[in-house]
Amino acid sequence: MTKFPFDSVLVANRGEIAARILRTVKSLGLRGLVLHHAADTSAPALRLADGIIAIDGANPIAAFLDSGQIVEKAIRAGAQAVHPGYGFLSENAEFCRAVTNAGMVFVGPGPEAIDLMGDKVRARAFVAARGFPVAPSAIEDDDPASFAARARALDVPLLIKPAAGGGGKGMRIVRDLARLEEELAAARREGERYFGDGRLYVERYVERPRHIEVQILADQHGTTVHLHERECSLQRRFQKIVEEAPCAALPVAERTEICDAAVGIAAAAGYRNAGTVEFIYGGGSFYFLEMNTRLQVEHPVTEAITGLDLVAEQLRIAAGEKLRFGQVDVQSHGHAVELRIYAEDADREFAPCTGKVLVWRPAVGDGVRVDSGIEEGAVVTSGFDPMLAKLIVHGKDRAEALERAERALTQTVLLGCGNNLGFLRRLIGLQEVQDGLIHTGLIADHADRLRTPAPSAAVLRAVLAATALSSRAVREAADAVPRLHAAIGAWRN
Amino acid sequence: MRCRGCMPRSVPGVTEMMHLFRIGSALWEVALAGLPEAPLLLLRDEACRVSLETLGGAAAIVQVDGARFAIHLAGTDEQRFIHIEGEVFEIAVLDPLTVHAHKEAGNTGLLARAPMPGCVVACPVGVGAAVRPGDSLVMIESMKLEVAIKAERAGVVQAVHFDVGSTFEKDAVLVTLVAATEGQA
Repeated sequence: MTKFPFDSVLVANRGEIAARILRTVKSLGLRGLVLHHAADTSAPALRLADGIIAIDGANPIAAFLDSGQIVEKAIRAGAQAVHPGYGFLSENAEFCRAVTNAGMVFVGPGPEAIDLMGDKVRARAFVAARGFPVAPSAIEDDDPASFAARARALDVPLLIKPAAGGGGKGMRIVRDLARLEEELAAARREGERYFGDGRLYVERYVERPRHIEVQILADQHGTTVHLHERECSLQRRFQKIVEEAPCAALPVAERTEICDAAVGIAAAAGYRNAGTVEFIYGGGSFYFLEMNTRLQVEHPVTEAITGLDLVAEQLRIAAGEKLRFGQVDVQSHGHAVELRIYAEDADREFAPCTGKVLVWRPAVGDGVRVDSGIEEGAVVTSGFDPMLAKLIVHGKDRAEALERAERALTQTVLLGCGNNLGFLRRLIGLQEVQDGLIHTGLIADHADRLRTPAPSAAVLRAVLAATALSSRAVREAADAVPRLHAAIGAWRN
Repeated sequence: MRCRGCMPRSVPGVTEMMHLFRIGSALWEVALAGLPEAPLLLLRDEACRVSLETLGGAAAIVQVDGARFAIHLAGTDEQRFIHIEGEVFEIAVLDPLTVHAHKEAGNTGLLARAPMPGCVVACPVGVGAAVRPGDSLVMIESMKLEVAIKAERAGVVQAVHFDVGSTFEKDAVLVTLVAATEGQA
C-alpha cells in the first residue's frame, strides 16, 4: 500500500478525463477536488468529486488556462497535489512551477522536461544529437536567412510546422514548391496568432504515414519503462479519431526498436512520470515526431492491453514510490481500440454540433469501457472541445476488438446533439481499416464512402410512423380523418 | 415510396389533415387514421399498418406492416429524435397551419412573400422545379415556429432568393414563380 504524502488531489480539468482521474484518486483512498466553470451544466466529474472549485474567466477555456486563479483556489481548498489532465495547462512549465512553488505536488514531469519537449525545435535537436532518428528537415533558427532555400532543397512533399505548436495545430502540407513562400508566410502568421511565436521548421513529409506512439512511465528513482506502442493513424486534420494498441501491422522487431528508442529518449531527457513519445512511420523507417509530457487522451487502450491503471501509477510516482515492475513484467494481452465520440456532423465537414443530451445510453458488454464527459441533461455548447466520450473496446485480437466495437457503436444511443457515431461505424467498417491498411490520410481519401447513406424505405417508414404516433397533434388530427379511409386501407398506385 | 408524390385528389378532406414532417431538407406529408384499434400511417401515395409500443426509458418498438424495429425516442412533439439501427434521425413536425403567399393586386400568386421576419430552414424546390398548388416552396422559422410557405398556384420556380440559414424581413420575396405554360404541371 502506498503511503501518499498528500491526501487531497485537485484535478485541474473537466469532461471525461476529470471523471476518469477522479475515479482512480478516490479508489486510492484520496480526496478528489475538481474545477468547475458554469458553462458545464451537468457532468459526471461533478458527482464524483469530494469538492468543487468554481472558476471563471473571459470565456470557459480562459478560465481553465488561468494558472494564477487555479493555484490560489487550490491552496484555499486544501489541495496538496494537482493532476493537470491533458490539454489546458498540462504542458505549461510555468503552471508546473507555480504548483510546486505553492507547496503542492505536480502529478507529472518536472518543468525542465516540459520546457524541453514543449519547444518542438529544441526537442528535435535534442533527440537528433543523441542519435535517434528524425525526419530530414530545415530549421529556421539555424540560419533564418537561408531557411526558405534550405526548405526548398528538401523538395516536396513538405510539412511546415510551428516551433511552438504541438498536437497537430498549425501544420501545413506543401506539395507544390511554387507555393512554398506563400505557405511559409501563412504558417508564420498562424504561429504568431495561436502560439505567440512565429518560428517555423520544415520536415520532409512521409506519404501515407502511420502515427505510432509509445507510452512511457518513469519513476523518480531512475527507472524508465515503456508500456508498448499505440497506433493513432485514423485522423482528420491531424486530430485523432480512432486509436489502437498494440500496432498489429508492424513486425515485432520494428515495434521493439521504436519502443526502445522511446525509452532512450525519455531517459536522456531525465523524464519522470507518464509521457508519450510520438513517431511517424513510413516506407520502413520511423522518425521522432514529438514528445507529449502528459497523460494522453488515448491512454485507455494501453491500460486495456497491460492491465495497468496509468493514473494510479502517476500518483504513486508523484508520491515518490519506486515502480513496482520492470520492463520484463509489462504484459500485452489482446488488442484494444478507442473511438472518440465527438459532437460533430461528419457529413458537413465535421462542423461542431450543439444541443441538449436528451438520451445517453452508452454501450455495455464484454470488453467494453466508456469514459464519458456527459450525462443526460448536459447542454453541449461550442464553449469547449467537442469530445463527449470515449468508447474503448478490448478483444483477444484485433478482429474481435473491431467486431465488439461495431456492436457497441450500434448499441450506443445519444439523442439530442449531433455526433459522429454513425461516421465511426462506417469508418471501422471500411475494408482498409479491417485489414489494418491505415495511414493518416485515409479518412480524407475516403470521405465519400463515409457519408451517411440514404436510409432504406423500411427504416424511413418506421421513423415517420414512430414520429406520427408519438405526436399528440398528429394523433388528434387522426380523429378527423373520415372513417371511410380507414376502412379502405392502403391505396397503392 | 415517393416523397411528395401524387395524391388522389378525389379523396376529400385528407390533404388538409396531412402534417408536414421535415427530415433534413426532405419533406413528408403524413397523417394517421384508424386510431386507436388499427392505426394506419398515411403518406402521399401509400398507407401502412403501424404501431408504437413504449417500453420506458426512451426505448420503444415500432412496427410497420409487420416489420419490427427497436428504437429510442426523445425530444418534443415538434422536434423528435429517433435512434434506429445505429442511425439517428431528427424530425421536425410542422403545424398544419400553412401560410399562403400574400394576395395582392397584380401579384397573381407568383411571388411567395414572408408573412413575418425569420430565417430559411429548408428549401425543397430548386430553380426550374414545377410546382402545384399546395406544394411547399420554402420552410421558414420565426420565433421557434416553423412554417411552410406553399404555392398558391401552379408554376415553375424561377428564383429562390434566400439560402438556408439566411434571415429576411416581413414581406420579403422568398421565391418567384413563372406561370405554368400549357402542358406543364
